Amino acid sequence: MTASDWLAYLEYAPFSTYDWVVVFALFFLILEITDEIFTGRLNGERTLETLSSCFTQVPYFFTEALVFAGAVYGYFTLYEYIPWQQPINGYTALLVLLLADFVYYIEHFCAHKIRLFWLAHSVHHSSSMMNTATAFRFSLFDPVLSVIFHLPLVLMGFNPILIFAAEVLVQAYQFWLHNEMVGKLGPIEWLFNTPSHHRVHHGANEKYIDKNFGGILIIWDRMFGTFQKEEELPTYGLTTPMTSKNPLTVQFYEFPRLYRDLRQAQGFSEVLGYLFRGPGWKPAKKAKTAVPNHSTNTSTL
Amino acid sequence: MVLPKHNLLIRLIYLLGIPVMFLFLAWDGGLLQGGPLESEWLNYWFSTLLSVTE
Repeated sequence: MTASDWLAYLEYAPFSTYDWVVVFALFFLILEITDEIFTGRLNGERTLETLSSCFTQVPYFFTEALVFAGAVYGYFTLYEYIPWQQPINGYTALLVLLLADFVYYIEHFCAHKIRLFWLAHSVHHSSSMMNTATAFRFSLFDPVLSVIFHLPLVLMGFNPILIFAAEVLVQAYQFWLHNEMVGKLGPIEWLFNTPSHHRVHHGANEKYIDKNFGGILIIWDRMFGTFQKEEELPTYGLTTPMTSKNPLTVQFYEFPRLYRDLRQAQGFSEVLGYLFRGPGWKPAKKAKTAVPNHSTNTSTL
Repeated sequence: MVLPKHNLLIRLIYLLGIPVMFLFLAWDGGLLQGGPLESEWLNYWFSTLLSVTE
């Protein structure tokens, strides 16, 4: 295949994959709801929780379209100026997929460790349920993070089409990870991210907090010491549970908490601390009087 | 590790659905059409499935 054949293929195939994944995800969600009806677990609260997760797609869809359009323009403009443009073939497509998966790990790690980014990512973690609808639960600010973190791949000289294709595939892979139907998968668990690994990631149990950030591969977590195997079924959600099903509260739950902290900040360094340190961070003098809290997944109030 | 209580039949459909999904995505992505991994059996079933959904 020539470079233009690869570009034509990558412009189409990953997006088709994403569309089909959404179709399958809806099928799996219907199965999960039917299962809950048959086992008597479905109640009003769980129904509303599922609906509120699905509803986050509405604002997300608009910002995603807007940010994607901006990213297409920005990435291609930047790419034109790169003197070390990489060739376009199957090998570079695979390499970009591997790099995009690593970028996803870093982005995801930062989304948990930097309060400003957690503001957006906490939306995905605020559900107390783990079903396919949780996979759709996004903040309207999520797409912005993705564009920033994938920028180095453009600077490395990879064609933006390869980058978008890889990003879409890594994202599409996430949909089958959010469920309580699939148990452990034997040797697959060594290399790939699985529903079991991802349930741990959504756990509010102390030993599960800030673990398993991987996208497709779990090897990044094994390499950088953030891996935790599933030992018992996690308690999902934030360590300070968010019980509201109101779509607006779901989207902006962490905002007033950050605003309150920023108002109390004494000096510019504390402002920076609240914005760029972990979600549980407090200035030293306040931390001494506060109840010890080892969780970075928690809101500070 | 104990999963929540499930309806056996629904869980079976779910668990079978996942490999079918990956197989379909690989086929739709062209990985199983043409070349050494070409499968007439998959071509038949997935083409039939697509023609029904269309």
